[in-house]
Amino acid sequence: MAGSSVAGMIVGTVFIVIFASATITLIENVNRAQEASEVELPSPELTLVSADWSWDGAAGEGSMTYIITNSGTETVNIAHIYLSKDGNDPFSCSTLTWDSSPAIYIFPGETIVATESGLDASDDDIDDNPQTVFLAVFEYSLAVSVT
Amino acid sequence: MGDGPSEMIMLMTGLIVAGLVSAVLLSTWDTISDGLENQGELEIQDAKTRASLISDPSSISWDNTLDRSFIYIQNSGTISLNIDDTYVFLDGNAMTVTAIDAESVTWSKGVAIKFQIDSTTDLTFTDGTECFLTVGVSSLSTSPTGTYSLTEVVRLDV
Repeated sequence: MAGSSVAGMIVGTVFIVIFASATITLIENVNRAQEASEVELPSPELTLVSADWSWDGAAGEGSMTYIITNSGTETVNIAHIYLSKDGNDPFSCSTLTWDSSPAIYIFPGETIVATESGLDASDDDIDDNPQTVFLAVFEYSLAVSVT
Repeated sequence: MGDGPSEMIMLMTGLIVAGLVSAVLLSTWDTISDGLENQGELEIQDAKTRASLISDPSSISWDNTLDRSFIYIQNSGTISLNIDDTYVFLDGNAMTVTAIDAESVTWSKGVAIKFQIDSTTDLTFTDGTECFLTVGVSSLSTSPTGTYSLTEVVRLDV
């Protein structure tokens, strides 16, 4: 009688340990599954304040001045910002020379200015007098008319 | 003392039944747990896998003669993508995708890749055609593989 009770207790304890272990594993995996909703993706928000075209008759070339403000809450790497003029090939903003040096990041609230020179006034290639500029960074994009 | 054997039989029967039920329960529990783990890993990979169109969607160039266009796609997720696993549909047509100037299959976060997309069939669009562009990407990591697709309306510049 006593022996069977002890045996029953031992087996019962083993079952409890096994089920407790399985429950802990299950809860860990449930928590792991919920982590997907906690993944934070880049969500920059920039404002292309203006894209100004100017023509230097003496030099025979045009230039574009871009003013970009980080209107979001994330610091943005300039290399991740792409501009394209009139639908032509986008180029990384890291290829431009910015007013602050070294300009690697735009911090929230910061405004930076860059000038792209060596453009022409004809209408034969991507460096002509553009009408619109499209800015894209990750899943954020906007376009402005050139003034 | 006379109850001893019958008690033992009851105990053994109870243990055997409990053991069988426990085995079935634990097996089911394990299956559910593995399923949750795998699903969770997949959802996390999917959530980290993102791409976005960097080209101006209002002016995507299209060559009716070569049935070709070029688009720029940026890895906007938080993990590296596999360039070779990129697929594109333009106006519902599967396109052949070729990465331009890609040094390897690894597509790092934030990097934009220029893709040449060709149609295997003759596609003729008129200037200003607006159609759907679908781009699908996959993560470089294959355990498990995260996937993502984006669809945007684009205006073709023919």
